[in-house]
Amino acid sequence: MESDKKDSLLSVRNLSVSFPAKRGNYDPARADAVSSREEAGQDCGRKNVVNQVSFAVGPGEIVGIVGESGSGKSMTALALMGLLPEGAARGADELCFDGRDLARLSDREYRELKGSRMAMIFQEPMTSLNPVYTVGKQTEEMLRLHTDCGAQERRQRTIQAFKEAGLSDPERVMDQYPHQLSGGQRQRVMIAMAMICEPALLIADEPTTALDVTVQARILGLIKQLNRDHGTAVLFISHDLGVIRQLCSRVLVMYQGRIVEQGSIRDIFEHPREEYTRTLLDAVPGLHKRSPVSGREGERERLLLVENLSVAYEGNRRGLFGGRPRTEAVKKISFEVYRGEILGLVGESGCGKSTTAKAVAGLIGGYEGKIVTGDGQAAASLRPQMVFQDPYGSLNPSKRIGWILEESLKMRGMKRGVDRVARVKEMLREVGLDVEYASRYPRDLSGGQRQRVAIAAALIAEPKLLILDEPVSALDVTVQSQILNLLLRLRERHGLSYLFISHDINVVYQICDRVCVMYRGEIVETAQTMRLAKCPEHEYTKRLLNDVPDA
Amino acid sequence: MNDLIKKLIMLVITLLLVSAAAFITFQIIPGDPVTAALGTDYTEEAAEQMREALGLNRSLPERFFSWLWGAVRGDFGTSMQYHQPVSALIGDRLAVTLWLAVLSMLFVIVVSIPLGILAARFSGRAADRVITLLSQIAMAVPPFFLGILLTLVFGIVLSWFTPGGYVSLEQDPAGFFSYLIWPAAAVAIPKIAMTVKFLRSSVIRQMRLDYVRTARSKGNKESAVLLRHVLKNALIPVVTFLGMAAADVLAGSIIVEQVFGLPGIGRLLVVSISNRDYAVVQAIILYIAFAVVVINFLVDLLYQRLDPRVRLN
Repeated sequence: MESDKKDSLLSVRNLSVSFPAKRGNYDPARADAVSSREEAGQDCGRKNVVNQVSFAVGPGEIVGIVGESGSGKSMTALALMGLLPEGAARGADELCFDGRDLARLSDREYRELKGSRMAMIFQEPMTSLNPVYTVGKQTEEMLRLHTDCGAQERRQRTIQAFKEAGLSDPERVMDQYPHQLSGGQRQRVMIAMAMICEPALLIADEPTTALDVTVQARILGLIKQLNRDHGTAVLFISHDLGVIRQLCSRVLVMYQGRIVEQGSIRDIFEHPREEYTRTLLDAVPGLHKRSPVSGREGERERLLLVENLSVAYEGNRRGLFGGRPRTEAVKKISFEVYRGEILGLVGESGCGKSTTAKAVAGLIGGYEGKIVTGDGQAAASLRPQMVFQDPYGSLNPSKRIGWILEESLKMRGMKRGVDRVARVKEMLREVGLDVEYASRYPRDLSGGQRQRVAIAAALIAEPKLLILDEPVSALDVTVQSQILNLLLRLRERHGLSYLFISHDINVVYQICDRVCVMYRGEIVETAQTMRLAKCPEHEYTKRLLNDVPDA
Repeated sequence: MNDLIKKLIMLVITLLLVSAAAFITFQIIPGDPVTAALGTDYTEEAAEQMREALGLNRSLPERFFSWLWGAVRGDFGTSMQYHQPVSALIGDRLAVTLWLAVLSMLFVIVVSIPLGILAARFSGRAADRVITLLSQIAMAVPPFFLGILLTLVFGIVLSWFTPGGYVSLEQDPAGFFSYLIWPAAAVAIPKIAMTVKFLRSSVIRQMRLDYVRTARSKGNKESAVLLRHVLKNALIPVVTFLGMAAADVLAGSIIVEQVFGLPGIGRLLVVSISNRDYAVVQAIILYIAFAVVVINFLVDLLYQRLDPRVRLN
């Protein structure tokens, strides 16, 4: 142990983080993972979200922490940075960083350490930057806090850091505000900010989760390069096993506040010892998990036909008498959906896939082109229904689940309450929920359960076509795989067709029969899923598939 | 720049519409100013003569445009009640109202911003509880009662000022301002209470956002997080409220003017309405509209200073 301590930059022994176990603090999003209080180990009315965690990080090493939401991985990171939310308590037998005992530091000493010796980057580059100051000013602040540099030198070093973080035209970026930058650029700014004082340890909490694959690949490359060039150790937290495998040399698997297994990437991925690690690895979506029914060529009856669809948005009027600038979100795209088919629509954010979905669902008008059924009728006759990404935001929080499901029955003229209730119960069972959920509120449900409700709400209108806009992107891998299986089962039973929108190629690989690749408002390639995976034709598709981390 | 010109044009259009509405309303509502002015001396001939002299027998649009043209040059006609030019009449009182507004808004800003931050910083703790309780009380007390209370405590018991001892600015600037402090306080206190409540909740809302965690992770002191990172963000919604408060104060507070015996716009408006002194009423309406529109314009500018996201290129 003594020698271990000397070698490592960070050594943690029996770290715990606890919260007062109040009923009010109950978070259903975590209900899946941290199931009951007894199980999470409780001492005198407090609930442990991190429980007796021990690990070490060597200088220049990249260590990953993987786990689902509520597993305590973020809390572990925040505990190291001394950034725990109010009410949280930290305890540890040993918390040693850079030869210093973190538990014994005064507030001032800890502050001096933060930002200079250990720095952190976060998941949401959108909200992690202060919206009212230029990014240059925010980055310079690091130097103002931790060095004696003059204004001129601070500016020079900031520009240098921006350059190193791969921001083109760093001088211009200096004077820009966060909202003027793209998601990738913002995360580069965050990285520049974290790295400017050359810390010994960089803690990265899901830094690429909110980004597109191609941007994610570049950011991961950047972190790896900074690690090589400066010898900065990295503690990399992610729920994405593919990303962890690509970047880290060692990994800790966390579940319900504990480390269930740790070891080298090779050991964990190829010879997982623990049951949970195996479950986690099995849940990872991808080609290998395609069910045999996917991709079959049955009767090719056209259900939906989209021809030369164009959608443009009008921006704000320029000046008092100026015109409105038009942005073409979707440019003359054509595709068709066959009966019983799952058609994938993939592409980066802003490529027009959600706009296409809304046009097909009839949620936006003013488009050009044709959206009709196979036999030339209005697409509305398919009663298309949508399921959205965010199961938190898309269910009315003040209504019970039963009410939410009944609403569309009321609109379709089902007069008798008894009939409606019977149908709601049937539907709940169909999506794998207990009937008693009808009397609960959305806040009482976990993310996966809410998404089941959203699917039930769509299906109860008896659509022929279901439009799913990133239905599993906000869910944990294990929950994700359950929902994907549910979707496949429902398709079999009801002969449904899906238009399945996702930025996650692995999910698309697993579930879709055919895929359309969208890029800047156009469909650049349409192919059978297996064909697309094996021999993509378009340049953009190749690049996109290349950047997908593979677990 | 383009945006600025657009806003200025909107400002002029708004004023034109308000002035037209004010003018037309007083033509439509029943009651004849000539009859009111002549009183017991009323005869058909005298009334006709007076209408002729005042130009009241011309057509409505004609009268509106001649009134408007006068207004642009600062000539709002003559008050029937006081027999002096409206512009001079309003001018004197405007000075009092404007100084009262400036002083009370100064109080609001200087007192409520530190208190709001303090309450948010120690939310749920003793300092917050005391501040919240005090602002609850201040909000519930009606302004006239607050005026009486201030007069009683500071004027009569403590003798810090002479109740009713108003002196004009020209006579004695020092005396004018030391007297004005008290009505300004009466106007400001309820507004301070509301601003504190507003700022407090705004700061607390901001404190939950991700960028605050980033600021802490950089090694900022808690006070620096609050003052350097959170405050500017938290002030954005508060500025809208302060703008509304300023417009309210500029329109003159009838009650506070009455309690403290101030010759301000509010009192003039009430007296003029009951005497059907339309020339004065129209001019005051135009002034209030002007004040509101200008304040909104300034709030817009301030908004753009604070929030780069609404800044238009």
